[in-house]
Amino acid sequence: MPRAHTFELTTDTSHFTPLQLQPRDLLSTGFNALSQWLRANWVSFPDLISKHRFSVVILGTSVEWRAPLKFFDGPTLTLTSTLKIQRNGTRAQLDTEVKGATGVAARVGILLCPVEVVELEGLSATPTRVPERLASLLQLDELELDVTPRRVVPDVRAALEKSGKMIGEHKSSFTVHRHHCEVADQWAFFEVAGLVGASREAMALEGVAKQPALQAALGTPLQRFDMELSRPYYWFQPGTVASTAWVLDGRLVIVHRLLSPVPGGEEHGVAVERF
Amino acid sequence: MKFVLSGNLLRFSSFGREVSIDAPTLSDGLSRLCEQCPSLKPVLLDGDGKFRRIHRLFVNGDQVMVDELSAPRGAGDEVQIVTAIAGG
Repeated sequence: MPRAHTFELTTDTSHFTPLQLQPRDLLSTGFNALSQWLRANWVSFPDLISKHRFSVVILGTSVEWRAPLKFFDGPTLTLTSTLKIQRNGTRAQLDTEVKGATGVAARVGILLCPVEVVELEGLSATPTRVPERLASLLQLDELELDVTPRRVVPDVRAALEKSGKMIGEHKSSFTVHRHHCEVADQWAFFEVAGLVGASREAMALEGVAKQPALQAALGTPLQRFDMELSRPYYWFQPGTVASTAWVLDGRLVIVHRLLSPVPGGEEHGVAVERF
Repeated sequence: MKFVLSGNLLRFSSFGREVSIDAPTLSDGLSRLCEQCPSLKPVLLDGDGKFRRIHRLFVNGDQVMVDELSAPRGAGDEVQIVTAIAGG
């Protein structure tokens, strides 16, 4: 059995919306679960970077909400995580189950790309495989080297293009400041959930009078949140969230493209919210 | 030429976003930039003084490859340095 790490989190009101567990907090807590798993079972995150010159960057995330859970249902969450190395050592997948008083409230997946940290001052890095000296510290059943992680976002976008009906669009701008960032002065991936949520709410408020289906974007719980990231945003970098709302098979789906005017390609990632 | 720095590089330029350098080529410009902002040197250049491949260079919006660093450049060129991946 792959090693699991379990910890309990005492909840506070900020972990929840009136509807459900906050997506940003699930991703943030899921990332902390990665750090806990590393420390318990592999090498602590600080040592991994400073002593082994090895780290991971986030390529994608998924959140699936299961049993409805609200703040007043109970005072704690129990998080259990496993980590697996995939695609010939060039990917790692952390899966975390979040249990509350009503059962499994959410599953959080974080897809990671192993990187070699080239220099410690700026923490600039380059993609790599998990080196043998680190892979040897893992169990055999944590090495799924022939498994390629499934990509959800392109499938959803293709289905929308084929069969969906677009009912709204919106653009909102942001600038990455340090409160959005992590130790390398690049944005922390879990902030995306808040930024795209803000764009979705603005779009829905603007358009709900003409498109009643947009009510779901404000008043019903999210069922799934999937995201793929292709480029980082750094401190002080300006960005745009370009959102489109769709109805597919009677369900509201919001697609958010993360853009910037910095040269090298304007798209930094795509997030999809499904209600 | 004018170097435009952003993101995780700002800490190493005393938070200056633009640094003007008088140099005939990008290669010379990078050397002089690192003289002017010594903290940038280990971040931008490797132990052999070569530009690290983890950063991308854009001149007036067009990406420049490492084998083009010696090409002549004009005084009005704007050079952006963008870090491809940070491993924090």
